Amino acid sequence: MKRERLAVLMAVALVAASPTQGHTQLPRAAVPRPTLTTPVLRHSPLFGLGPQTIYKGGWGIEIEGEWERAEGAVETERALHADLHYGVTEDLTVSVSLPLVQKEEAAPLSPGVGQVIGEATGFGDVVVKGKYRFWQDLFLKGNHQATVFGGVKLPTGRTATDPPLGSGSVDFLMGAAISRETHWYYTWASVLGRVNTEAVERRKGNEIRYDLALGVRPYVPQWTHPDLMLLAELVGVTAARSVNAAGEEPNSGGTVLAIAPGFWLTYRNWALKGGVKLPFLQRLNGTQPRLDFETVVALEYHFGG
Amino acid sequence: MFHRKLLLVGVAALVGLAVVADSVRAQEPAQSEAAVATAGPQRIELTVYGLSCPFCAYGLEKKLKKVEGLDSLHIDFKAGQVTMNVRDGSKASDERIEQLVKDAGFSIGSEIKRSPLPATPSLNQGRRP
Repeated sequence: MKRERLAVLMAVALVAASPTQGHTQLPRAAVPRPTLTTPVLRHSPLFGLGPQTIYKGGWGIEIEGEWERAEGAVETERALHADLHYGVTEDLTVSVSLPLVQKEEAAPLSPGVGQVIGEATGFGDVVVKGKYRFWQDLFLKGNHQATVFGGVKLPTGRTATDPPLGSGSVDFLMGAAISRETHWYYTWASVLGRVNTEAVERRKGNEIRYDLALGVRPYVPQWTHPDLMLLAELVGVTAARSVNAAGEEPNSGGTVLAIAPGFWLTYRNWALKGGVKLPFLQRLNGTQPRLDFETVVALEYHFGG
Repeated sequence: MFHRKLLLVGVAALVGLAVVADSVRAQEPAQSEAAVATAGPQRIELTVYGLSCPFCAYGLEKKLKKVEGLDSLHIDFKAGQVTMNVRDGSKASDERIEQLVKDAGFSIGSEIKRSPLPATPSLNQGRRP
């Protein structure tokens, strides 16, 4: 019980001590960037959706930091998510995600140079999510799983700031994931969509994300020993153009494809995960900043049940 | 004001979730009162299907620690085998063990084997932390 309380305190402390240095925010009509909070829960891919659920009655706390940079550091963005997961049954996991966001918006002056024109810090949009595993094929030393995913992003982040901390809209998430897991390797495939509603005379373009991932375990440890898995993901995001009162915004939407190496290191009920997404194809509508890279680091702790 | 309402809705949703979770827990099959107590300490061995990582084994460990009269537990992740020693008088039925394995998200892949142990359990590996 003491360890569980300690984990909760650590999670709160991590959120409170999140990065406070400035960063630049993408123009509001920019690339289909990681505006979607994806749960990294358990051994899921880092940039896609995994079908894994937590055991019945189990809790999971996850602190996830994201950092992305575009156009040679003219624009960078950071966010810290605190996620709480609960296993209602062994097949149904519900989660709440609370992001702490600090945003700066910059106007590009010349290549590689930007001038900060706005800054805001605070909580972003809360996301309530659920995952239901509808199929599972269990065998010795492995399994196949398939899951559907749904969620709602609530407009809890303030929009009166400049730049705004929240989207101001209620957005809906839905997706599905399938995997094959064995002692030596994992494979995943997932698709995740986001349907946006109108916020302050503007509706952000709907998005679809797709992910193929492979995980390889260099050695198979025993139950109580540290476990390392190396990951390679093929990640894609396609977004429609945003719409405002004047019609479609020309500098919005497009497609980004990337590869993403990563890892998990788990020990008992702790997991440390990290990866970097490196785009190799960016077909963006109009004039938009090109993504340089995106990184994710997450720490997860399971308890209860 | 609108955001406050949304937060209230969120809190209400969480409370609702807790209620649902409690009701689900309340439906958990309890140990049958009719379960026969073991005569003497026993070793229980089973094969678990679906175990693909040590992190997953933690959930299995949490569940199997609920086995009545459990003295020690060892999960051989590489072999997918679980070995438990239970004390004299334990009412851990096969159905109960099967349900706990299911709650962890796995299934039992073979018949549950029981064998008598000497009065002093000798399985020290994987002793309860």
